[in-house]
Amino acid sequence: MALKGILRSGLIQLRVLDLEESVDFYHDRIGLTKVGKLGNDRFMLKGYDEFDHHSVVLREADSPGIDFMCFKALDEETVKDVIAKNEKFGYERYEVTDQPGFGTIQMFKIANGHTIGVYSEVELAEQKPMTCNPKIWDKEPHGMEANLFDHALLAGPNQGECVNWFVEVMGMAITEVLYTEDKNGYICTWLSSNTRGHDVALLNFPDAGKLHHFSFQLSGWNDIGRAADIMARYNIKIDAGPMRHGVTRGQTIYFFDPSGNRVETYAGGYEYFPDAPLREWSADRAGEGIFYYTKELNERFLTVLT
Amino acid sequence: MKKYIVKILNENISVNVNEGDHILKGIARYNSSHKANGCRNGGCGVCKIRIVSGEFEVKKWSKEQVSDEEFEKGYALACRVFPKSDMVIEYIGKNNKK
Ligand code: FES
Ligand SMILES: [Fe+2]
Repeated sequence: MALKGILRSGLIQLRVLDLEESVDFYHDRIGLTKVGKLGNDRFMLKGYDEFDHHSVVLREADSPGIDFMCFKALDEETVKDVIAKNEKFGYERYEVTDQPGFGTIQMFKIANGHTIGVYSEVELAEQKPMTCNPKIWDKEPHGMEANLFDHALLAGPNQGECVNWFVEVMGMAITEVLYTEDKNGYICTWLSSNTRGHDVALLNFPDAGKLHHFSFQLSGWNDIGRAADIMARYNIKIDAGPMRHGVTRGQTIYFFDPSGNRVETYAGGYEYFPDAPLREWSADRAGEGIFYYTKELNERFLTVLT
Repeated sequence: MKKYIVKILNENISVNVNEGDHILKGIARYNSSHKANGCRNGGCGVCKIRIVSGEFEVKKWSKEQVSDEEFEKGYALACRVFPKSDMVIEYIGKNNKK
């Protein structure tokens, strides 16, 4: 087994204002596969290149934003280990058993106001990548051809403590940091549990439990360009891009879903190995870290969250 | 095309809004880097306004940004207000309650 412990970000539940409109948006435009309804107010979707039952749940609510984000653990031992190590932090834990196809998800309420889940059991999806003499896809993808749910940038207070939780409890690695002006703290931290540049990033922010954006992986720069063409055709509200991040080197577009949640289509970026030195950004170069070409943060970057 | 004039009292400007467009579209056409130009889909609250006068229609928005009680008092999100007459508004912005 090449990778142990926490393997990857694997599930996100998002709040939307209008479920039907949002399902159409994530299916038709982003190119996710419909998995099915969950009760009256939720809908499950997945990327065509994901094996797991589903990876995105949309929930109709009064205000948009994120309910929780969950990580796939290799085995039950890892989950037990996370529960034990959480004791030191004392974060409230509860169990969620209502995600079809998933075993029990252990949820932790961490100090930035977000809920982070860990699970080790999930069934294979009906629509999944081929495994026997596999073609690159069974049925050709559509829309922006999102491969999979990739990562999220979570905003909230007590960022340093939460980073420690992800490192000590979840066993994840810090890949890059953006220091505050005085270098005594972080404005933002990027964390990985595998060879991606990040599975989750944490942004220091006064309001708890805020979603800055969540992201789908596309195959490459050409696909980012095609996604931009789809955004132009359907008047999807672009925030920034197509562009590149200095941090992670990912090629990207930020845009907004019909409820104002910021979504990202992301491609490329370097491969991370646990022995790689920490990449560091100073506050005065934050613009370049996020918007590599224009080198300037737009006004929206630190004001527009859900 | 039918156009409405939306006057923003505290900024001393008036913007044109086409029939069927929301107020923020008019503001963004006037100044695309205006602070109000956020998610444009009713989620983030940076386009919060107070409506002083005029007729309009609204679409669903985040109640965390503008609650029903606030709406009763005239608060709204510019990206979800569609003028049906000339209007007079104030720009409030994120979390600025008056
Ligand atoms: S611009 Fe985000 S709510 Fe209007
Ligand atoms: Fe991202």
